[in-house]
Amino acid sequence: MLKIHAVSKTFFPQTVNEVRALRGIDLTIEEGSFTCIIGTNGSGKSTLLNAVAGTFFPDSGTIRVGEADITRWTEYQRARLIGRVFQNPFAGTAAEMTIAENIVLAMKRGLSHPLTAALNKSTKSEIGDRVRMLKMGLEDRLDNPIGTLSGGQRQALTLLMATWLRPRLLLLDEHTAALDPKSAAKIAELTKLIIHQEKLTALMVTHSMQQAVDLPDRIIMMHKGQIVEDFQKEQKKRVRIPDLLDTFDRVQKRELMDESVAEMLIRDYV
Amino acid sequence: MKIEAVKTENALLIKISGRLDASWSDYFTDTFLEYIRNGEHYLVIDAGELTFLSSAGIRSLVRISKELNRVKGLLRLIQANDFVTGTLRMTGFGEWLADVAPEDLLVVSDDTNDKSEDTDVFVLKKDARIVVEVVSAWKPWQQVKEKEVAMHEFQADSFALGIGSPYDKLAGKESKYGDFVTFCGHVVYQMPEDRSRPDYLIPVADFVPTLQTIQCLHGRGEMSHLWRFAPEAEKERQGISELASRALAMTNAEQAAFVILAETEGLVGAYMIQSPGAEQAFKPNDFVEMRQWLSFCGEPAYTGEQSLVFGIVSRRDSPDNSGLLVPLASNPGLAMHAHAVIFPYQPLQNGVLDLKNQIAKFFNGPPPKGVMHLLDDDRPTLGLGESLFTRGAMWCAPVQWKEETV
Amino acid sequence: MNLIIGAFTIGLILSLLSLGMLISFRMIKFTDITVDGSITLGASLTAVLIMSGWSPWLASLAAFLAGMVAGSLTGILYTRFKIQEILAGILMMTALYSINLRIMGRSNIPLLDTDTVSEWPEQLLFNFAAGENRIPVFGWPVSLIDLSVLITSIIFVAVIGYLLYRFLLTHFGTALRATGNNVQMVRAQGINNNKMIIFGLALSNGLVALSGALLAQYQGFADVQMGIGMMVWGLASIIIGEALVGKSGIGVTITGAILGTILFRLLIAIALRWGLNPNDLKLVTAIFVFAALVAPLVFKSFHKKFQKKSNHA
Ligand SMILES: Nc1ncnc2c1ncn2[C@@H]1O[C@H](COP(=O)(O)OP(=O)(O)O)[C@@H](O)[C@H]1O
Ligand SMILES: [Mg+2]
Repeated sequence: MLKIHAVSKTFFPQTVNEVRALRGIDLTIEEGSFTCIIGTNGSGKSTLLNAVAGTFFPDSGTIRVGEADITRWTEYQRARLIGRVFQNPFAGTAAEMTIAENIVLAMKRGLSHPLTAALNKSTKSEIGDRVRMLKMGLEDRLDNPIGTLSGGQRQALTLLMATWLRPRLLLLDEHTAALDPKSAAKIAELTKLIIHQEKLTALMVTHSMQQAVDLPDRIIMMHKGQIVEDFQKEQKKRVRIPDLLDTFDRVQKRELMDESVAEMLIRDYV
Repeated sequence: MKIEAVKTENALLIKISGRLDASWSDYFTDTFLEYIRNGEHYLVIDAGELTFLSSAGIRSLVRISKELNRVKGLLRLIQANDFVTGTLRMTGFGEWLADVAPEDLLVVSDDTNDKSEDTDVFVLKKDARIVVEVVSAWKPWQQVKEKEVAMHEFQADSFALGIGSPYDKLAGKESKYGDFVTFCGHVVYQMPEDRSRPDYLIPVADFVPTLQTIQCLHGRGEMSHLWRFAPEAEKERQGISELASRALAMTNAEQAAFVILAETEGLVGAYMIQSPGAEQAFKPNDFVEMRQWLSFCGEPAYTGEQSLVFGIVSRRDSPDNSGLLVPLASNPGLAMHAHAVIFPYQPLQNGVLDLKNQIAKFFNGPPPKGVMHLLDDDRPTLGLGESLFTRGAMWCAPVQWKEETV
Repeated sequence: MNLIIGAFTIGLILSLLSLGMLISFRMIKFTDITVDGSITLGASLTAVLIMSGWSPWLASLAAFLAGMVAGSLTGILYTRFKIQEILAGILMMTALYSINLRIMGRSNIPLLDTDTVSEWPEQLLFNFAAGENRIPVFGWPVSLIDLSVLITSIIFVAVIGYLLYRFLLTHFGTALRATGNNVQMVRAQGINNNKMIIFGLALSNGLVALSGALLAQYQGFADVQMGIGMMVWGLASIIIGEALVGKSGIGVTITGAILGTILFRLLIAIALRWGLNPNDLKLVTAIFVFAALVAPLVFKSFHKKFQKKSNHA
C-alpha cells in the first residue's frame, strides 16, 4: 500500500547545523495494517511522517501510495489519500471556528470546496450523529468555537475528522503525548476502535511502549534517521515492553562499537 | 518503623519496632533480602517492640522465609507480643515463633559453623581432573569448511565453551553458529541474532544435548577444589583474572578449568550476532561492518545478576595446546578463554555447594538472560577492564589435554 | 443634518473598505498594506472610465476587478516569492502609486456633471418629490442628491454585506476562514492555503477598490493621495465595530464592521466640527488604533497585578 523507497532528508545541508534526519528509509506498509513507530527523541519519526504527508519533499527516494507515485505531490494534494493527527492537540483544528465548521472542512478533505452553504440541517444532524459516538457530549456544542474544548476533546475531534472520509492512510504523530494520562488512554482506545472498525491502514508514532505493544500489528524502531528494528507478524506478537527496552539498549550499544573496540575484538575474540 | 541489625555469633539479630503494615512492608522486605544477599542466612527478629502485624507484613515475612528456604536458612521471631503471636499462630506461621532471649543468641552453638575464617577453601576430590578436547580449526571470520565442524555430545560430566549450532547442517547464515557454554551437560546457546534470548538444552532422561561446533573447548571430569568468596574489607570484588589465578594456585597446575557461580559486579564481553557459514568469507576490516557481527557490551553488564562462567586458564609460559587461549591484560602471566551465562539473581547457600545441584537449580529456574564471551578490555582510558564478581563460588580442577586433539 | 447624512454616506461607502479589510486582517490574518493603493486604484480607474463615457456601473465593476488583480499580486508576492506580508503590501502599494498616476495621467481628476451609480434612485426621488430639489427629513430639508446617494450606499452595502455573509458560510468561505486560523490544519484537510491567501487578498482588495470607486463618485473627484492612511482608518473602524457588537459569528462581525465605520465617520465629523485640525486627523486615528491595540494587553496586566494584590491580602 505505502511504499517508501530510499528516502533521505537532510536539514540545513552543508552547514554546522546539518541534521541528517532520514538516511535512506525503506519501508513497505501493507494494506489494512497498523504500524507503530518508536524511537528516541530526534530519531526522525516525525520527519518520516512529514515526508509521507508531504510537509516537505525528500532529498532523494520515492514514496508511493498504491499505484500512485506521490513523491512530488504537495501536502494538500496528498490530503485526499492521507488523514493526519498531530501531537499538538491544537494543530489539527481551527480554534476560532465552531466544531461543526471544523468538521465540515474534514467532510471535504481533499475535495473541491464549492460555493454552496457549508452547513444545513441535514449536514448538522449527520455531524451530530457521528460526534455522539465519541461519548463526550460534544453533539450539543456543535456551534461552540472548538478553542473552548479541552486538549483531549479536540484530539478526539481531530481523529474523527482525519477519518471522516476514509483515508487510504492514517498518520498519527504522538497524538496522545500532550494529553493527561486519562485523556491519553481514552484517545488511544478511540484510535484503536476507529482503526479496527474502518479497517484503516495506519502509521502511528508513539512515545508509549505500552501503546506500541498493545495497539499495532507491527512495530518499527528508528534511530538516527534509520529503521533499526522491525517487529512484524509472529515476531510482534511475542514482543513485550522489556523486549523493546532491550532493543533500545542494544541499538545504543551498537553505537559504542567504534574502531578501538573493533581492534580489541579482532585481537581477543578468537 | 525502625530496623536495627546486630551480628551475633551465628545469626543476625534484627530488632524491629513499630508497625509492620502495608506502608512499611516493601521497605522491610528489601532490607531483609539485602541481608540474605549479604550472606546472612540465619535471621532472628527481635519483635519485642513490634506493635502491629498486618497481612501485608505477613506476606513480607513469607517472602523472606521463602528466600531463606532456598538457601537452607532460617527465620525466627522472638519476644513477640500477644497480638503478633496470635496473628502468626492464627495464620499458620506459628513455627516462626521461638522462645529465646536475645542474649542467648550470643552463645556459640555447635551445629552451624560453616562460616569460620579458614574454611572457605574446600578440597572436593583430590586427584580429580578435567580432560579437555579441542576444536579450533576454524578461526574468526573465515568461511566454515566441512572438515572444521565437529559434533559434540555433552554428557553429565561435560563442561564446554565455544561456537556451535544445534542445527545439524552446515549451510550459509542459516547454520546459526553462536557462542555457547556447557555445565554438567546443560548447554546454553546464544542464537546469532541481536534480538533473541539465549536458548538452552537440558539433559532429560535419554536426551543428550549435542552441538555441531566449529570452535570448542570440551572438558570432561570432576572438579577438585571449591573456593567460596565474599566481599572483605580490603577486597570487595574479584576480577576474573584473580579468580583464574587463584584456580591455578589451588590446583597447583599449569592449566586449570574453572566454573564460577557468583553475583556479578559487571561483565565485560561480546557475543556473535551473525553466523559465519559455508559460503561466507568475511574479514571485519572496519568497525561499522564489525557491528553486524559482534555485539559488544559497551559497559559492564548484568550488575547484581548471577553469572555462571566456564573458563580454561593457562600460565603464559606453558604451551597453549588449543590456540584458543588469549593473554589477559589484567594479568599478563595468564592466558584464558571463558564464556558466561547470566541468570536472574538467586541467593546461594553458604558453605560447601554441590556443583551439579546448583547447575540443576539454575537451569530449572527463571530463564538465562544472556551468553557472553568474556573479554579483558584494555583500551587506553576507554577500556572497561575485566569482568568482576562480588560473592559466590568457584570450582576448579587441573586440565589434562586429550592426547589426539591438535 | 447634512453633516450627519454626509458622515453616514461616507461611512457606508468606506464600510466596503472595512469589509474588505475584515477578510484580510481578520479572516486570513494577513496584514495587508495594499489597501492604501487599491482604494486609490478603484477611485482613479472609475474616474477615468466614467470620464471616457463608461457607465458608472461598469466602471465600478472594473474597479472591483482591478482591485482583485492588485490583491492577487500581493498574494503571489507573498506565497510564491516568499516576501514577508508587510513588505509584499508595501511593494504593491508603491507600485500602485505610479500605476494610479499613469491611469489618471495627472494627480487628480474631477468628476463634474457625470453620471454616478446613484442616478437611478435620484430620478426616482425626483419624481417622488414632484420636482422639488429638497425634501424634509425629520423636519430638515435635505438635498435630493445627497439622499439618493445615501440610499444607493445603503443598498450597496446591504447587498454586498449579505453576499459576503453568505459567501463566508459556504464550503469555500469556511476554508478561507480556516486558513487564517490554522494553516497546518488547512493543509492537512487538502486545502491549498496559498490559493486561499491569494483569493482572500483579491476579494479584500476588490472590495476596497469598489469602495474607492464609490468614494470618487460621491466626492466628485479622484486624487492620487486619497488612499493615504485608509488602512489605519479601516482598522480603526473594525476595532470600533468589534467593541460595539463583539465578534461572535460572521453576521455579527460583518454588521459590526459596517456600524463601526459609520460611527467612526460620525465621530470624525463631530471632532472636525468641534475644531479638530483636519491635518491632525490621521495622527489622532493612529493614536486611537494604537490605544485600541494596546488596551487589551494593558487591561490584562492590570488584571493580573490586581489579582496578585488581592491574593496577597
Ligand atoms: N523542519 C525542520 N527543520 C530543521 N530540522 C528539523 C526539522 N524537522 C526535524 N528536524 C530535525 O531532524 C531531527 C529529527 O527530528 P524528528 O523527526 O522530529 O524526531 P522525532 O520525531 O523522532 O523525535 C531532529 O534533529 C530535528 O531537530
Ligand atoms: Mg569464544
